Amino acid sequence: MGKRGLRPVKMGERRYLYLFLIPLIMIITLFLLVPLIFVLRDSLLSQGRLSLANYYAIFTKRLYLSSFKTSLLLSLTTTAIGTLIGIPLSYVIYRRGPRAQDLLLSLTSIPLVFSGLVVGFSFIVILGSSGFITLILKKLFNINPVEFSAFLFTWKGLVIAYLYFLIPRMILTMTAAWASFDWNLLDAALSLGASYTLTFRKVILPAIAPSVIAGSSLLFAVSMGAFGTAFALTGTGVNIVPLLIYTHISEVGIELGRADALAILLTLLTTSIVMIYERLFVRRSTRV
Amino acid sequence: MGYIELRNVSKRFGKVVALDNLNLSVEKGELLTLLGPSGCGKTTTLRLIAGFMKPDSGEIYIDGKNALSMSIKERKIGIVFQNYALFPNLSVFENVAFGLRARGESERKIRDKVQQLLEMIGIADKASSLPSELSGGQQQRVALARALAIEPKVLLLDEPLSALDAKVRNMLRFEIKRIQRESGVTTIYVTHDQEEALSISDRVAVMNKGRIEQLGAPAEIYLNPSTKFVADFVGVNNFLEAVTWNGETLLWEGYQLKLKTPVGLTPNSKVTVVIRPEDVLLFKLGEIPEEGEENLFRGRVSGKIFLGPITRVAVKVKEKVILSDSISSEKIFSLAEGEEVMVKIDTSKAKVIT
Repeated sequence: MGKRGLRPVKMGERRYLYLFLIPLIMIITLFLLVPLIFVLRDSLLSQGRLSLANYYAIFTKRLYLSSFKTSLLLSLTTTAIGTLIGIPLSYVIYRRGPRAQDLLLSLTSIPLVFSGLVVGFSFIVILGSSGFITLILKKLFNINPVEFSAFLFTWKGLVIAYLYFLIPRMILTMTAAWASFDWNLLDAALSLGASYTLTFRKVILPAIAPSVIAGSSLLFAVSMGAFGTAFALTGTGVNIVPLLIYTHISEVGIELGRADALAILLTLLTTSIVMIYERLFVRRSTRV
Repeated sequence: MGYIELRNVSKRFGKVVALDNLNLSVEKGELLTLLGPSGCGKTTTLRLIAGFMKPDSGEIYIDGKNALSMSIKERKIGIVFQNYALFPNLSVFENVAFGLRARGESERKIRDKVQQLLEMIGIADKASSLPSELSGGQQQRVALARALAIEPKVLLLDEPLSALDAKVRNMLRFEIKRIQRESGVTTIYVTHDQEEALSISDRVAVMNKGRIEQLGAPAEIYLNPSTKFVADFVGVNNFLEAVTWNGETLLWEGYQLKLKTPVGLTPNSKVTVVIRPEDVLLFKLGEIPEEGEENLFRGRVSGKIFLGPITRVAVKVKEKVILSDSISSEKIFSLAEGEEVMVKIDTSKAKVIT
């Protein structure tokens, strides 16, 4: 049972350990901080002069506000569904025993390997107007394939497609929680006379809450920023922030400053929602 | 019929047989210990009684009723786990109250009962602490109080003390015994520690490979082990592999060993003579006349361990090592490795196992 603590590190050694962080610090600086600073700077420029015009436009024009609304709607929906499906799935996978678990977990991570574009196209192949499931349904129930597949190219279709790569993320996060869960707690609660509902609420939920919060935050952040799948499925047909950024940097009237401001706001919004959410629930779950 | 009765209970996990036609009867109010090495099936037995799993075959009765048709809750069993399994997010009070709340007791009864239990285990002042703020010994007491709170028909203790240090372990051992006596709850105690088993139990069941090798009072198990496994597990023993010669003599390593052999053994049968280290006496050369003494052998000291009040000396007789325990003394300390000594085996205390 003895948990061995980490060996204490001597001062000199610790300084030496910092050397290993240098590559990480360089990567973060080069590929996160520097670009973010540039994006922030450019978002504050309008026709070469310092101005809040880009932000003003975003906060006043309907196109922009509704893109944030759709993005939030899409991400909150996918996060909620992905979390609710991912938790029981991860439980089942964990309880299958080590061998089945290894196999199922490797299968689970396959969706994470594909680029978003591939995911988008694969959904067209399966559920599009000449997709193979659509055609089977047409044969069986005589449905109109174009009508049926139309939903795929709306934000609801994106929910389905996003879940394809979000659920595996939830499962992988949760597996760690199940692995560190003390299953004796479950037996103790049951033999004390608790129902399964009470056991879940008072024993299991508090124990897995940190992972549920971490997992759902991840899901939310990923779906706020996802681009490839949405692009492949809808072109720019659904008005979500990542696609809107794309139209500002690729199509005719290029408006880089506007795109930069959108990116900054998307970053701020996602980060602050995740932070508030984690604060709120981590506090609560550690207190109870 | 015992208060807890297991009849022909078998359980396998894949190819591993955890329990092999186990029969066990526990009397009302007694403390019975399942003693055995890891993998002998003792924890499986507990989990089957608790209802956490079902046997592949066989029957289990608790208080005369068929337990296999009862839910975990209906069995009303208090269980204490090796790792305590306290609910980490609940206070000490709420941990102990958990079973009472789950069973829908009134708030007033809960308050009284929990208070009484916390006083019994001596940590009433920690009622609002979280389990992580308690020492291991305190956590174990809370686990015990939590299990007793529902006034269980049966108390199951799964290696409850093995994660604690020796001092706390010894103290809690007596406390568990006291609490069990006072509450009169029928208790099954699982351990791999023979000293713990012998000191705490009314009866001990020594388990091996999913079966009970021997069941009896602690002294009986210790003094009269019925198999080599039990003898080996219950205490440090010397095992002399010998063959019978006549009714009063065995042959061991070419020596004669004077010892009454069990009736019905034909000459030249293989037997194991079990002899405890405290029944092997050690002499310096010249300290005892070599002529005319029975069961006296010459050997060389091959090692010694100081155990406090006694010192255990390993003596090599021919190629076999015999352990001998003596009261620690200057004489024993002065023995040098390789020194020639005499060992005398007190065969009146020896046990012959066929």
